[in-house]
Amino acid sequence: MGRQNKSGHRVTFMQRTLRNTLLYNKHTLFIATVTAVLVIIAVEGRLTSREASSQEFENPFFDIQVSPQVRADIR
Amino acid sequence: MSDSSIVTLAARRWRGLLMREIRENRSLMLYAPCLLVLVAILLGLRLFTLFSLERQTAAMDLLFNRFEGINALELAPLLTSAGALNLVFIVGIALSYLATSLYSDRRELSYFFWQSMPISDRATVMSKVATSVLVIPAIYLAILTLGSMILFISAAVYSFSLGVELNGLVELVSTMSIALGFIGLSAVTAMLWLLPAVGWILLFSAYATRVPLLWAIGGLVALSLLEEVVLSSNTIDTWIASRSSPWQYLVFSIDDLGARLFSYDMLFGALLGGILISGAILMRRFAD
Repeated sequence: MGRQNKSGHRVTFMQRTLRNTLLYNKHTLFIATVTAVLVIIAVEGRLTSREASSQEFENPFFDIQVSPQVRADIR
Repeated sequence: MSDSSIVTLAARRWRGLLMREIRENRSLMLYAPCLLVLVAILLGLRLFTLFSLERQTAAMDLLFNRFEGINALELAPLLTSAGALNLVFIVGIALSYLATSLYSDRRELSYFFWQSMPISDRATVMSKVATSVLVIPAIYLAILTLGSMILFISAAVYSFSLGVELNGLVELVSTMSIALGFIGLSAVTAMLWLLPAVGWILLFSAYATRVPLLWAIGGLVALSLLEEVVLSSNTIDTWIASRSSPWQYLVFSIDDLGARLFSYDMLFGALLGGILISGAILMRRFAD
């Protein structure tokens, strides 16, 4: 199923490919991780039509009920 | 080896890993929260002393008698909102800690010592994630509770000396306790919500040769600008902006906590955080 490496451990084709590409050095690993995350964000953003929500001040979990009298006083 | 001894061994190992993080980052985890809470209390006291004695008495009367007969659960969200600034401090402390954690391991060469121990890279990195998500909020909350108690007892004694009746004392204590609980839950929820940021900073902490926090922020800004210039799109900006509302992690009720923790956005953030944290774990194979 797999070849033996220098230390005598069996190494599968997948492990060997990963070691020669993504895990070749710290730079390839870093680029692969960042690229994977960016691709997932891009695909998810496209699929869900994600929109920015930081400008929305409406809070779905907590509602302050201000009485009409207090509201009038504030104005 | 029996199952119980394996569990005990794992629990001991995790306790050791977490205690190591606390011991090595005492100034950030213990002294910084103490200083922040102390400054907040002193600022409050300084503001209070600016008022005349009549106004101080009226304020104390309002504080200790206005809450009489009020349902603490209904009023706690207001105090939680007032205490939301603490979340900024907790997140700031956690992100500063994460930026230096793996980086200082490499810089001080303690990385080689820990690799010689029977502790995997995964356990080491996950202990840093657990420290930022659970330990830092817990320590900060404990210090905040202590500070609030000291302030509260001082205010009660001062009010008593002014002749103010303390009729709403029980309700005020209940409201404060619930609000502190909500702040603690909000802090943990915020850190889980920020798992992509946790993973991003950990990845740079494991990768950068110097100033990892600057590289993490600079890298994100550069990627965002590059996307806008090259692709004329703003996917990264939109994604960040869609997760930047404080209402997404401020907890005002336990009823919706389950829905928050298992919401689509929370789980998607956990997935991205998981990928970045895995990258940081694998990065420890490569010694500088």
